[in-house]
Amino acid sequence: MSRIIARVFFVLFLFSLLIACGSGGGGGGAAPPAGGGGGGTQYGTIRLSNVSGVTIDEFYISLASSSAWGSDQLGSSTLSSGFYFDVANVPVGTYDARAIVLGALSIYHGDLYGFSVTANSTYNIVAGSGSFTGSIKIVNNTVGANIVALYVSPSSSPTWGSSQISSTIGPSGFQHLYYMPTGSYDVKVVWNVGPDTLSYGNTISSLSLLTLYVN
Amino acid sequence: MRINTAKICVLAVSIISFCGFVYAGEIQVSREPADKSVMEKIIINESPGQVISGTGTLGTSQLQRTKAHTEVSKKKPIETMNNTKPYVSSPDGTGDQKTK
Repeated sequence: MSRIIARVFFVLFLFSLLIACGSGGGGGGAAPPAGGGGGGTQYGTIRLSNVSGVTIDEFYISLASSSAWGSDQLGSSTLSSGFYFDVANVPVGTYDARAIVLGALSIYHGDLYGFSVTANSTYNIVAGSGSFTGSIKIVNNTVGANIVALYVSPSSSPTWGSSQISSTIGPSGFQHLYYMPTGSYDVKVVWNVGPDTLSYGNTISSLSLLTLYVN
Repeated sequence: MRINTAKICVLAVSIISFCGFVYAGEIQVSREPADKSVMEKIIINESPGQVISGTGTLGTSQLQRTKAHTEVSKKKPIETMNNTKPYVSSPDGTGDQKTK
């Protein structure tokens, strides 16, 4: 009888050992890492610290060699200002990161390229109030003229580049351009009638929408 | 000192025309509203043994890497609006020359 009990205990011991091995690792991430030793892939952590003053809605990380951003690390949640978010179990390597703010006025992103994730350590990415792109909205403020071409180019550029619109903008219509790197921009509006409208040195700021009423 | 009326007139006209040339109408800047309860500072209590290997700040660059977003965004009301699109930067030297 005692031999049977001993066997049962032995089987239970083996079973519990199996469960313990299966739930090893830590955190709550997806695939648990193999740990420090073992000679397998090594892992680190990427932290996004939000001190921007606004909520970050999406966060993407991908290997610098990758051509796609992949999935949103925040999932269905968002990251309020004053908080941070850790992505654990990231295989060591060189990464790019992008945070996106879906604001009330427009949409913005901030990027960091080519940073290194090393084994058993955390890389801290800070998202500040000046970390994001800005936007511009050009409104046709006339009663009877159409905008047939719209040029927006950095003030540092000697040329206008290509038009930002593919169809005309009628009276009270607008063109909203987002994901603009911050800085100074020149704007040229070409009308179907009358002379062009030129506006130089418009400042595009992080997390801001500049509205330009042209006539 | 003799005041040259003609020169003053030319100067005045050129200033007025310059202002009219540059004027593009009303300009309005709107900043995104801040979170209602924004903490002043993030306080990170490191667990023993945790190492911060580096710190970087997000930013914007004229030279953005073009990576595709393969996942559909949670909510992008702005992008679904008409006449709303990402800014397209053109390389220097393309398009008409600026004449300031």
